[in-house]
Amino acid sequence: MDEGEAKLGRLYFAVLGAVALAFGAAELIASAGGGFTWGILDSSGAANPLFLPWRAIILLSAGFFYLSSVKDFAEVHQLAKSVMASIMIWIVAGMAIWSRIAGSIPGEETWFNTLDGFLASYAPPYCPEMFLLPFSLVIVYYILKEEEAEK
Amino acid sequence: MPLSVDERWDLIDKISKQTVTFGAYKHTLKDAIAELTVKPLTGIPVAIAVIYGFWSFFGDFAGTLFTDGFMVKLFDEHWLPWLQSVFPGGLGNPLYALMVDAGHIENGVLVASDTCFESFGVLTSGLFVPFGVVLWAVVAFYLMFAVLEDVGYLPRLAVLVDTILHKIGLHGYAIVPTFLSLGCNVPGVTAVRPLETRKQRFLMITLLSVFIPCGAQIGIMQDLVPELMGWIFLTLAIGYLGFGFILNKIVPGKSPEIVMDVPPYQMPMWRNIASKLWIRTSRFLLVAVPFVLLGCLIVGLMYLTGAMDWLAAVFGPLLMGWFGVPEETVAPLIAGFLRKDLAVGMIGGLMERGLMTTFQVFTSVVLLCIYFPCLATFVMMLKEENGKEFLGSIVSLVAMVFVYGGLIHLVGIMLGVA
Amino acid sequence: MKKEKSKMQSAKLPLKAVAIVALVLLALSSAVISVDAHMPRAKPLPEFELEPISIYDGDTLIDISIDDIGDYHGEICVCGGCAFRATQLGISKILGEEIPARDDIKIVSRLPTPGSRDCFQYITGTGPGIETKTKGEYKVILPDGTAVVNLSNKDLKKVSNDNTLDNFRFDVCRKSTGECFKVVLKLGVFSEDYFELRKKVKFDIPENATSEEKALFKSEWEDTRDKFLTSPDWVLFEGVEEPEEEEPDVVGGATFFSILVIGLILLVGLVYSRKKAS
Repeated sequence: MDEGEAKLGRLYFAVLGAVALAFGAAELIASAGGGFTWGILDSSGAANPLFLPWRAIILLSAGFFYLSSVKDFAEVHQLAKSVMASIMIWIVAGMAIWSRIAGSIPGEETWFNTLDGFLASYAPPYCPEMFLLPFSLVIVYYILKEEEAEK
Repeated sequence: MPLSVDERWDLIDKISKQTVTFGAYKHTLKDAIAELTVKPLTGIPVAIAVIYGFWSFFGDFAGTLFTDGFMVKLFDEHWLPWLQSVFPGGLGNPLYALMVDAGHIENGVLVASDTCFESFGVLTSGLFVPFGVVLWAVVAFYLMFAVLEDVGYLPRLAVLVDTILHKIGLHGYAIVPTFLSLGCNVPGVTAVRPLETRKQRFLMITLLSVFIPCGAQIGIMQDLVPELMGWIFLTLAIGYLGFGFILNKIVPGKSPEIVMDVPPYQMPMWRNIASKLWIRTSRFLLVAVPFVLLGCLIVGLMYLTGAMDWLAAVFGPLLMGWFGVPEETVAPLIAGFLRKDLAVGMIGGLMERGLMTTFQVFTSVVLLCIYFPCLATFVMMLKEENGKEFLGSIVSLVAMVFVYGGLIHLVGIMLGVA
Repeated sequence: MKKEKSKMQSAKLPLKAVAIVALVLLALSSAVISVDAHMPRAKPLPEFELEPISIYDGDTLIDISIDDIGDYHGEICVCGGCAFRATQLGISKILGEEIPARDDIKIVSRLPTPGSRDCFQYITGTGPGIETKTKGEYKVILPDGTAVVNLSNKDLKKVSNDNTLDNFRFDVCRKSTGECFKVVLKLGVFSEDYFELRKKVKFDIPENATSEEKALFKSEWEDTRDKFLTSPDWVLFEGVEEPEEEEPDVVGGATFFSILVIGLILLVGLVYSRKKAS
């Protein structure tokens, strides 16, 4: 990748890392009190209360990975850290989405949910990781760039 | 004309000069990622994320979607009421009690059960437990396990946990039978064969059979007590490492190093995964279902003949005094010898009737996990160990159950929850 | 928790020693096993989440939980649970989110039972053995207007044998402003035969209860206790509106679901195009 792309990547993932770190820290502190809800951001509602601090630790680690990858971003080992951080966010966000899918299909009284009930299952609030998911997908661009360079 | 040795080497040199290029090996992104997942500083957070994904998928697939979403409706709202209406004999009849619904006493009156967990019939609990709960748990578990295996992550997990497992006389490879045992203890015990020394195999088999709950059990636990899962696993992990450390010190023998192949990461091959999933799940069902049905039958017969009440009276003081669980736990403990998932289901029935506090449920479930391997695992242990080792495993098991069970009760008393 | 007291007979020295050992063991065992004075072997409490009642005792903020009431009385019983919920409702209706001062609380109860007495006395600070800087006010006035002055267990037992739903009315008042909220229990919280059964089981009126009636009363007692621990206010008390069910956010959900589907299509497209390229 060229210098401009690397610089942009450095800046972008530094900001993303800082945001991930902040969300992770907030989630970890809030998990002691069962999570927090702020507008459409919701860090509670896990079936198992241990999942809250667990998620928070993963998000904190992802934040650290992003921030540590910023120096010499274009170097393959540093880029790999950003990739791993993104994968960690994809895992948590992916499981949050999977949880919604699993909950949206069966109905309460009937076998299958009504259309309204199905769609309402995807309504906000969402966990912090789901907000970070689209931003973490930017790494795909850099992965494709790196694979091109390897060829 | 055949070439001489020198001519052969000259030909090799000529060919390789035309075909082989030499240079410094440049790490690709895949190599860099592979390295990151093996080094502890970066590998451990990744492992935490992967295990989170594993359990999250498992819980939602087996619990939320299939068991709670469809199977409970099918069995509790259709199958059970239908059987209760068509099966001859009615409530109170011995055959009806054995096959459909034993009922329970409410206000001095025998009443019908509302759920397949409570009914304890061969055709109700006996079918609900394997097909309504366990099947989905096992499918979810083996699916995720196959994905991790195929992708190449499991050997890296083994490298990460190697240092910790060294403290208890084992090696990173032990994560493979441990993980397999989380699906079913039987293949977990079988996977112990590559370990070199008898000491390692003995340690692994004993710890697996005591502290690693199987997928069936986990599935039921996830359905009944999802809020306690973390505490249960933490307690079992502490026991696994703690008693492993002690056993390592007292069991004579060596624990030599193991060399493991760590393959490169690759995209999973869905055909591989599907085939592994089919083989493991079908084999599991073929073994599990008959045992669950047999377990229901035996427990039902024991209730009918009064043998269960007699056992509860005999072992009740020990259970209540030492372990802090009610005497009603005797029935699940007996069922647990045949199938642990059935036993946890029985505890669920007691819980739904308000006969146990949260701490008692927690203690009973942990006790069930550790007190005796299920019959299938028991048979496997007999097969894999010699007489002395088998006896050693059983003696260690009994000691661990009493010490650890008593310790949990003591901690509960000190915390004021027991 | 109140410990069981056993009667000791005078005995010779060795018998005395055995008796003392037995007493110690009994005391120890009662520390582990909860003794239910009202209802022997009552089933364990259900899972519940009740907010504590917050009050100011002078400058000190105190949170009184239902467990504190249970510890003071000896257990969480029907009357204690009802009294706790009634006080909570009354305070919220008069003061909203504001926290009352203990000495500003006045409670007039029509329920002459030890469980409700202990709860109200604990909250108002007027009971024996309660360390408090300030005190509120607590009175028991029966539905017919009779004031119950002596609140000992023995005296309360005399007046409570014909308790009915009418006794489950409480006035929770703010002394400084004179505002009162009348808490009235809804019909249907107690089962139809509860009070008749109670008379029979506890007081042998009109005759001794059979073992089936005792078992039935025990079950109804447990269910009613659990209702006070788990049911919302609008189920238990008159004058509380049932909250409206939230409309599901279909539009929000549909938006997210569409984004998800588009994202999935793009992902599949990307994977397919890469496979094709390679």
